[in-house]
Amino acid sequence: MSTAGRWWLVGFVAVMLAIPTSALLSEDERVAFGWQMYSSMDGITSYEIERNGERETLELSEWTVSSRRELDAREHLAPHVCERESGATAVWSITERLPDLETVKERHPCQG
Amino acid sequence: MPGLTVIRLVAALAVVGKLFSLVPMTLALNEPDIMRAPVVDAVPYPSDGAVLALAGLAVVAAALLAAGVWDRLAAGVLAAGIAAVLALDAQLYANHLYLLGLVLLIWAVAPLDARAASYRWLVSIVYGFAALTKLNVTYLSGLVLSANLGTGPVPLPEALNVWWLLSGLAILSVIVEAFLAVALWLPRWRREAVIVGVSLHAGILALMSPWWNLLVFGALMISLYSAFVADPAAGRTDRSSATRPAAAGSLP
Repeated sequence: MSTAGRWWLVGFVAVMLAIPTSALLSEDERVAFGWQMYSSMDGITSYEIERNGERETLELSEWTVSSRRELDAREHLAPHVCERESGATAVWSITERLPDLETVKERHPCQG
Repeated sequence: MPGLTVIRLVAALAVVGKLFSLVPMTLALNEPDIMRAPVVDAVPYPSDGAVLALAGLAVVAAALLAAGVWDRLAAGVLAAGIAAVLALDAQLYANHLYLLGLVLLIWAVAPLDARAASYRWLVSIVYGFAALTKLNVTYLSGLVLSANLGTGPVPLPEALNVWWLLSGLAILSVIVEAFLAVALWLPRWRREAVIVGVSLHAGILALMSPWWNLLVFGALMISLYSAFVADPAAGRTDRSSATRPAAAGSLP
């Protein structure tokens, strides 16, 4: 192998090892580029819109193009739904955590 | 099929196939109700017309790549396009798309005598980390398989949906992926590794979803096995590798 080939290979392998290693060591389980295919499930999350004190189910497919686990929809979903839905006061995420099926409800209030 | 040609052809086909899902998803991001999750703020969301024009460019580049004409340039254009997609919106990320981008990147920029070795390392790293990330209680308990097996074309018989069986299958899958990460390097075990790898991806394709994404991922991974039997110079395009001994591309 040529010197250029050797340098390329060393650099390529180093980067390819570093990226998933950093994902593996990350505390955040939703990390892309980590080759974490079907490796875990932190829970099943559904969403609700709060309006006038009442809550109704939010169909994720009507608001997103993907529901991958690497994507924390709450970070972007709540502000977006609040902006689009008149009268919305908050978005709720309801997660049944695995493996114990403990239900965790989080309220994400609309700003302003 | 000589050298690494199968990788180039599968990558070109995967690009065209992936456009059928990627284009509608990217167009949907322009609809007002659809949430946006920008990854790199500097990357602008393309208009509908720009999405279609870029998809057309990708088809032309994929055709050139498949034909082996300006293949490195074509692969570079496609790899840059995938990088832009991954930088655009977090909802567009998928492991098979990332893998496809890396396959194209290697084809475009790796020195020819390091191309096959780059693909070999990529295969080992993907399988190795796929195994490592599954070493957790949730996966090894069989919960993840319970939720995902049977979502593909072949349903999982209810009688098989028992925790001890799924847990055993989960442990076996980790062993299989770890085995593949190592065994493809060893001539003594390569034939068995290819059989195991093809069976693994066929099983995943039959039992799990999303089917198309898994097909692209599995086809790419299996095509990369050819790098383990290609000689270093087999990274050259067809015209040069065609003059090499035919045995270069055959499995031992």
